[in-house]
Amino acid sequence: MRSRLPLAVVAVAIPVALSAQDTARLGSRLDSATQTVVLRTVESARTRGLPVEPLVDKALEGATKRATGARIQAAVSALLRRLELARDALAPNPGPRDIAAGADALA
Amino acid sequence: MAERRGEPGEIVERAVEALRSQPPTDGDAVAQIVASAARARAEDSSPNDDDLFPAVAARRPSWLRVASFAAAVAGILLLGFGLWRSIQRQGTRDTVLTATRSAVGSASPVFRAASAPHESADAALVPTQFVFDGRARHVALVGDFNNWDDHATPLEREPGSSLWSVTVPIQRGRHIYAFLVDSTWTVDRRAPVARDPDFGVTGSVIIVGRP
Repeated sequence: MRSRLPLAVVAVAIPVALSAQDTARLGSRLDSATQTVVLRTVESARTRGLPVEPLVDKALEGATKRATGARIQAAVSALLRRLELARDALAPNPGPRDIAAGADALA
Repeated sequence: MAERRGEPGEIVERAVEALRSQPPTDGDAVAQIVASAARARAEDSSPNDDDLFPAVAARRPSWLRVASFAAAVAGILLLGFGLWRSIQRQGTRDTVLTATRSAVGSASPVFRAASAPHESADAALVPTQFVFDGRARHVALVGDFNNWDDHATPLEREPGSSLWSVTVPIQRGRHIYAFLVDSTWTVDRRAPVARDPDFGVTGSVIIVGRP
């Protein structure tokens, strides 16, 4: 039982660290409500084995283009669906960049 | 030992004499001995020192078979990894970028060939120069390669001209970008346009690396 403790700590620590990275990348460029929704979408992508970089990029792109929070949330959610479609279309073993390129093509 | 070719020496002549003095060989006895030896060899499956092709496969311990299989798999994986790295490096060396020059009053990216010291096999970052030509107080580059951060990549103006430029290491592939000219979103008029169904603000497209 004691030998499994480090594994459990690592299993919890890695997602927390990755989530912290996403939060740091988003910084203060989104309002808190939009940031919460975007981070939830990013986490959903991560648990499905999808690349999360394009989602964070999309949110930042929206912020730079001065889009509203609602529009950013919609864009990130739409991109998540496209990533999933692209991953399925490119099965069995597409890489993260392949999936992102496929999602771009589906836009 | 000074024998000439074709002439038997003294030792050979003595051996021949000794063999002639033996009684004649019984052919049936030889056949029986050979047959019984063959039967004994067939019944005895243990390895012998004089076996030319000893049957060791059936007797090899299971751990040895597993180890052999693992070694073979590791070898194949190493070979595959080596080939993959070799292809990656070749692709990086073959990067070909075209150069364009901006005209007065327009903005255009200038793509330059990557130099080896700036590239790593994995990241494959390619130094890419962007040029904006026009009057402005401040010009910044934003794109998917710098987190769309309008503070991250300011362009510098060449003294005595209206040319602004910056060189950024970018991963190979397709990227979207734009200039912020005095905080105004400005697309590159000479670059292909990237439509934007999500936010409705078009950008410019740059393809870094081989098509």
